[in-house]
Amino acid sequence: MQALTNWDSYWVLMSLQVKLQCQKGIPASLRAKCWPLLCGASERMRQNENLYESLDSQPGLQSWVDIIERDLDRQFPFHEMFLSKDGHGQRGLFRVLKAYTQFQPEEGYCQAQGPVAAVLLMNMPAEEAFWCLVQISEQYLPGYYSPLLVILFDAAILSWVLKKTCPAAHKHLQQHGVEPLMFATDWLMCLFTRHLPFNTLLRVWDLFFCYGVSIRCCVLLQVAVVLVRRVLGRAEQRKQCPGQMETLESLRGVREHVQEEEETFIAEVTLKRVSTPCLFIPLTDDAGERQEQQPDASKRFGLFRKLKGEQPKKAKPKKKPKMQVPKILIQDFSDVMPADEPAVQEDAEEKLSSRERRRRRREQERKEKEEEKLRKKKEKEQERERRKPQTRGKSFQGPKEKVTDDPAKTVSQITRNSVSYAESYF
Amino acid sequence: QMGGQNLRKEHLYKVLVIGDLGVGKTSIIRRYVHQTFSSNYRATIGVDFALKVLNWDSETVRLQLWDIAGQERFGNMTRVYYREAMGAFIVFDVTRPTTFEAVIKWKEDLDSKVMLANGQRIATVLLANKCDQGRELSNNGIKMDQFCKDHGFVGWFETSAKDNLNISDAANFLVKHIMATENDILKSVVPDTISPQMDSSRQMSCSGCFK
Repeated sequence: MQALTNWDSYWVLMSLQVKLQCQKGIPASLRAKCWPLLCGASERMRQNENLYESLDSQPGLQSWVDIIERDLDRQFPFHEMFLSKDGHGQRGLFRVLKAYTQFQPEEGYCQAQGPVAAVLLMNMPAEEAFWCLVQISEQYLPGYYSPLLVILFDAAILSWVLKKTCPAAHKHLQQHGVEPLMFATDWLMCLFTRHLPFNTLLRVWDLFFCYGVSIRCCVLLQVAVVLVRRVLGRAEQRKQCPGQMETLESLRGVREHVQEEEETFIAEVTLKRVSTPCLFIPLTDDAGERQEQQPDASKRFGLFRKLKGEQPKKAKPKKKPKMQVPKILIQDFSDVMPADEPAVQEDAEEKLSSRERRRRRREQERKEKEEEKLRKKKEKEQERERRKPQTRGKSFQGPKEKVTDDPAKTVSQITRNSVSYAESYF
Repeated sequence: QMGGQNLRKEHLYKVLVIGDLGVGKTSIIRRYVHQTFSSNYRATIGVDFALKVLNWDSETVRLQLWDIAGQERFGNMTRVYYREAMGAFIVFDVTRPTTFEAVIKWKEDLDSKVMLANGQRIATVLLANKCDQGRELSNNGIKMDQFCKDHGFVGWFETSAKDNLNISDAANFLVKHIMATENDILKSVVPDTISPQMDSSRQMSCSGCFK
């Protein structure tokens, strides 16, 4: 456990190993520690000591409380943790969701956050779960749960990705008037909580927490593509879905196509490379070098055992890693810049110590929050204006900002772009 | 259509079920299609679907029920879900007045985003759900009739998904209206000029008419 407190140094030294381990699956006993660490929830918890406690002790806004209470007994009603009304599962869920509406009063509660929070609570204490939910909502899927519904944009992206990666399925969907918004809204917004077998879901979340923030919805889109392929990939499957309803029914029953076979599923997810207009990050030479410097395979997967305090076994014969790891996932995205960034900045940034970087990031986050508030105000005005048709599509082109390699920044920019994209799409 | 006398004429209708969150849209659909009831159906995120097949005299009616998320913030995506609908239920919860106030908002949203091929509004029935829970509307019946008239509903029903009250009656009532409007549309099309260049995106979902 001491190793975990030294996570920072591990993170820098072994981010590659961490990613590979996340791909292999985080041991169940470590998820409670690892998920908050990976998504930055632990950091935020440290920075905001006692905040959750104080939110928790205050009453929430009644209108949100009503909606949340309505949802408590319908998240995983058959899971033992959520069986009884006053059991710690439902109570915890209420407290976490209520605290979020106090933490983000303008945003409030989105019903898709319910199952996400429930799965977090199955894996960790309430305070950690709360900060993970905050990180997911703010950093990983910004705008997903707010009334902006960036999901509209991602549904359009999914359509584009499907066209590139499984054209036959995409054509089938188009022919029958099936749009991703009709089947993937639940998948993406609930992070597959309601459509994957539990063990597979946990493995997908391992990947999501590890890769999700720097390339946003990439992991989610990859999973969605695999699911569509599982349901509609073969010609005879498509033949069995001769219309819109049949196709949608099939997609809704996607769980039948994912049996308890996490390994193959995760392998499939990581092998299907997805590159999307906003997510595409070029592979630099640097990344190639890093890949060659990897330690040999026997050391590579031992990180979590070390963290658990186990001694590495010595005379174990070397095994080939079961699956081929695609380049895009090996890459350490946190250090890679978006394509349109000036190269000069890279050097300067690279020299910064990780602490300094973190400090800057925090500062940036603070700034962003303020900007966000301003932006929200502006958007509200624009929302009003949008009703006039002639202003459509022109909104959200605020002043161009200085580009930095802070992933959070990139994310917020994507959000911004995405809104106008989604606008023009519908 | 090819085939002999025993080939039944088929209608396919897309029907929306909308209304505020927690009013019982999913419960109504489950009751109608699967004859079951549970108090903890999970919240609908985005949209869900069910299909109900009805024997209608000598014809078959396939009802596609689109169960649409009730939380306000999903309103941005309803345009995609409403497309090509022929009829709708707007549901409210008789025990929560705010859900009734929202009915007008839902109706406006519906009428602004979808219409029939002839430009008319789609047939919409108002459902006062959870009527098993005490509050009776029956003495307000005249008021409700007036409300429906004022706001363009073809009718209203007190329903209970729990006790299976009035749900299939309401559905039959809606189907009747959809069929009537469908006939109006067909009549308005001059015979022998069924235009081959009809814009596919505006095509109706009625397979019986255009197959």
